[in-house]
Amino acid sequence: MLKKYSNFRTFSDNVKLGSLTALSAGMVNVISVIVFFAFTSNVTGHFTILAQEITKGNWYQASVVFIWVAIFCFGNFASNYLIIHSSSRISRYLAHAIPVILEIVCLIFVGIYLQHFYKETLEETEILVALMLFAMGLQNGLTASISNSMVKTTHLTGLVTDLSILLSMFTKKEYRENKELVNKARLLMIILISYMAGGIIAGILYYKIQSYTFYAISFVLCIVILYDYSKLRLQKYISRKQPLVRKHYIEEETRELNYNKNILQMHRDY
Amino acid sequence: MKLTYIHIVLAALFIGCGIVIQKSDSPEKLLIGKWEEVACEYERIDKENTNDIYQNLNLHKGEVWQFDNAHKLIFFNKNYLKETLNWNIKGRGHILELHYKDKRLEGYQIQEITKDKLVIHFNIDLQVRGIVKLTFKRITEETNA
Repeated sequence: MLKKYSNFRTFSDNVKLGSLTALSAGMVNVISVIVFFAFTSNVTGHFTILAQEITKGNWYQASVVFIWVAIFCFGNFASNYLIIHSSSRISRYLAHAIPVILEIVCLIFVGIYLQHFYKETLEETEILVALMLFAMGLQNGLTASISNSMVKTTHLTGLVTDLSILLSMFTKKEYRENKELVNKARLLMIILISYMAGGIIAGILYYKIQSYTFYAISFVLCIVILYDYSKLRLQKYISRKQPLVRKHYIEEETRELNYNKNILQMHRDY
Repeated sequence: MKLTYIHIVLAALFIGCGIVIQKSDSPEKLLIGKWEEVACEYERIDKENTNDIYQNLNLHKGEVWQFDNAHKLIFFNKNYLKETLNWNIKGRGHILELHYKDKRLEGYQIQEITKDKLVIHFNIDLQVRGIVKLTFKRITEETNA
């Protein structure tokens, strides 16, 4: 899910990553609206508000919104910075896992703060929203960067546009039979459903378990990290102890690589 | 070279915004004090349904609202204390929440807040085709005297 990047990723890798991260993004966005009255998984609305506050001459509010947007951008920057500066296979997994770990740390911090220290002042609200925006920036930067912009999970504007275009393309038979386009549409649909599901789950959970919802979101993100970690451990074990299984594993990896090369070639031809 | 300029501009904007936040009064600070309600208007409303829609709403008319540092709000009606409750501000400083003692929550959108004027919109169900707009002016010590 995390260790492969760009064109080496399979459809299955993108589906797993997309569905889990979209689920967490949907949860984060809904809970931030419920608790803080601010969106945290997208910045389109913030740009509109920024323009509105500047027009009204509300410089305090405009500054707060600008800093929120800047922090979301910094999350994206930090994520991609870690990815492009990683090299070997193990450090690549680590580089891809660090943004998720940081995201978990931010969300758990918000959860703990809400439970034990939150006095509902505006200053606290602004800082906690900024932290959640940073977390979402990290996640968006990671998913977009490692999937070659195939997976974007924190906002749905571009996704809905792409999906609508694909659906209109499917009115022609030649596109309906194009496996790559069908897979892309399936991936977008899965992300859309996961995001919605995340929002609904967070809404229900918040009224049942309040700030513990942040731990539930962190649990979803832990699955993203641990899934690849367990696979890496398995690979390590296989390469040391089981030469025959290793042979099988290498063959499987080669088949997957060849499949990706074919897809890439098809994409270029298309 | 161009990239350096972009970085400098972004850093300057970031620092500038930080300074603005530090130096200017937040909506939370501006709100503290005594406010006299001077107008209560129904905007974009279907007048025939006014009574049906608003009969269950607890609207404050002709009151004085006193916000203090401890997040307590006192309602005065013709100089006698009517009610005390808790308040807080959410979002980017655009949502005013009032917490009643019976755990009821009332939400207002702050449309305008300056040193002298406060305009808030009562947050009601989206199906209601109308907004209750409350306008306040600050009561200063001199005004009181």
